[in-house]
Amino acid sequence: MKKWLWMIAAALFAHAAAAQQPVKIGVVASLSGGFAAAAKDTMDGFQAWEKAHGLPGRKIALEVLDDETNPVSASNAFRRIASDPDVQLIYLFIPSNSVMAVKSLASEFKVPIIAGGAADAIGIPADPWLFKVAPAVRDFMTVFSQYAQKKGYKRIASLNSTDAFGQAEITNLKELAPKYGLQIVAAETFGVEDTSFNAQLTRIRSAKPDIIYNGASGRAAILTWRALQQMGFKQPLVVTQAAVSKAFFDAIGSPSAADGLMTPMQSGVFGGAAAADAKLYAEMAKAMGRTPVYFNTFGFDVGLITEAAFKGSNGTRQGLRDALEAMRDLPAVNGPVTYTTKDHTGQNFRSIVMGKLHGGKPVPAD
Amino acid sequence: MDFSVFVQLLLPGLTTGCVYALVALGFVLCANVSGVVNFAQGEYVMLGGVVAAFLVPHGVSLPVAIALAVVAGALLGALQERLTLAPARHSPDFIQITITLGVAVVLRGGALIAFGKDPLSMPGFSGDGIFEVAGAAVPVQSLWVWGATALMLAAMFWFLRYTDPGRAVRACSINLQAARLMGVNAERLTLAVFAVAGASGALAGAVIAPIVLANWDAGIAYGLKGFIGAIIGNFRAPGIAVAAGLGIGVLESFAAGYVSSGFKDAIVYGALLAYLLVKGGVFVFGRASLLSR
Repeated sequence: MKKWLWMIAAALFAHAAAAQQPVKIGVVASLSGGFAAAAKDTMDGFQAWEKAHGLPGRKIALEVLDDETNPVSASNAFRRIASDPDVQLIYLFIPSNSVMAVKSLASEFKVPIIAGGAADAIGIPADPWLFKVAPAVRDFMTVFSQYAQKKGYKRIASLNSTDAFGQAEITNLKELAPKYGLQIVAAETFGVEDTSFNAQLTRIRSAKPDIIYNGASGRAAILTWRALQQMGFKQPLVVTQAAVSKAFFDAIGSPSAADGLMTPMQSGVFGGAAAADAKLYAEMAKAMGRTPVYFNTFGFDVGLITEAAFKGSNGTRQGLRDALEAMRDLPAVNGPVTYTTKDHTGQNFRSIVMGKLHGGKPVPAD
Repeated sequence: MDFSVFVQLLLPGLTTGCVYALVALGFVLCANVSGVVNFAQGEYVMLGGVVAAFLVPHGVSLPVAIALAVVAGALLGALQERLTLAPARHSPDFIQITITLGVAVVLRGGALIAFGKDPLSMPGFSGDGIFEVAGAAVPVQSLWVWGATALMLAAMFWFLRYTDPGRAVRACSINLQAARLMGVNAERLTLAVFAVAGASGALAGAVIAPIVLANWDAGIAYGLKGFIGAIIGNFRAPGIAVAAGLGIGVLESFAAGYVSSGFKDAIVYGALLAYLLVKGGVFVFGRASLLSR
């Protein structure tokens, strides 16, 4: 009898000790380089989730490596973290191209990964171990198409970069247009280093579109916006979310100069009641002590996904992976998160709202 | 497409072509006196743009900002020659050309560190308005680009034709060894020409910045298109190189406007390839060899 009591006590002690072990999560984040601001905001959002929710009864130990916004460094950092058997989960707060570089390694290490990035190919075809969060390009194009249909526009012109992101935009738009009764009357392309968009816009003007989608970001977004104004375009203009930045406002004179410019945005960007889950948004804002920006909401959503995965599993790598894949319509700030065996995209077009800029701030469009 | 579309494609094409023309001229001048293809030439355009666009919002008046950008271009051009090419003057050509590529990378990286990754904007010299020609809208700043290019080219051709150093540059382009034997100080001339090429590139960058913005990575595109102009000018004829630079700007615009924006670069580089094949006598020799079989 005494022996049994000792064994039960030892088992209980071991269980309690295991419960006190911190959950070890690896993070590959672009803390320097071009994606640094976004990665830092994501980390801040994740820390807000830790403060507001966290994992009940468990501490979280983060091992963070900086990939310097470089796909090769991202792969190396991932290998290093994934090789540690104590790491239960890995976050990738890095741009799409770097996530794609890691995707090829995901199944080799068999550790569940929750990743950023907007490229469709991150979530489909699904790698068993890699889970994307934000909606894909096709979701943004879906919202644009739905908006055009709702407003009665028929003729669309699209201007896209020749890189993978731009081509994904136009490919999806071409597939979606017939479904929403739209006709693509001009599909122009540009190189990201181009400095003149005059010829493309001349062709677009000749095609007489009802609405224009401009997939340019960075310098190209500024130059195309200016050229559209100079050439006297009156059609509604929709741009990619990445186009709207401080540099954009500085270059065009002021934030109010872009009033009326539209962009499909994740609902968390609008904040407050416009967020997909206003209660969660309020929790995040309270934990941060200030108004969150978009990548804060993304980081908070990563925390919510983690919380649900631990709740629905035994905390092992395999258990967490299975729990992630079983996730259906998990409430999150930007919209519900769903994974299936074939689709690891996470959020979809339901989490996107067509926004309109007013004084540099986004508000839901009519 | 009507006449207004033609003009809408032609005039902005000429504006971009002006920058290509000045870069092409820089390539030709440097090659004439040193025998080196200076692949850093496009970076001076970038440099002029970022320096001017950085200074203006910091309270420096526009003329002073442009002057400082030009001086920076001249200084760095001279430094490039003195610090990187002069010590390697007797090295094989490919070493010297590789050095210029290295300088381009350093200038690009330096600009990224000094001025940041975001594009810099600066106001047009006479405002940011447009004017209309045959129904085409053209930025007023284009007039400054055309004017500055015309002035620069006129000054350059006057220098080459009517001054002793200019004649010396032309002599070097014909026969470097003979020019040296005739008392031309090729070393000092090379230094001066690299400074002038840097300055002209920087001026081009400063005047076009209000239209295209200034960015640390803008030099590559200008350099490549200017390089094509220089090839067409055979790295010897400044006039042909300038005309080719202008032509490339217009061809690029027409290709994107009348054919497809996706084929713009393919058409420009395809035209270069065709030119090289024709000039190289490939078709003639090919036919001859076929006939001789």
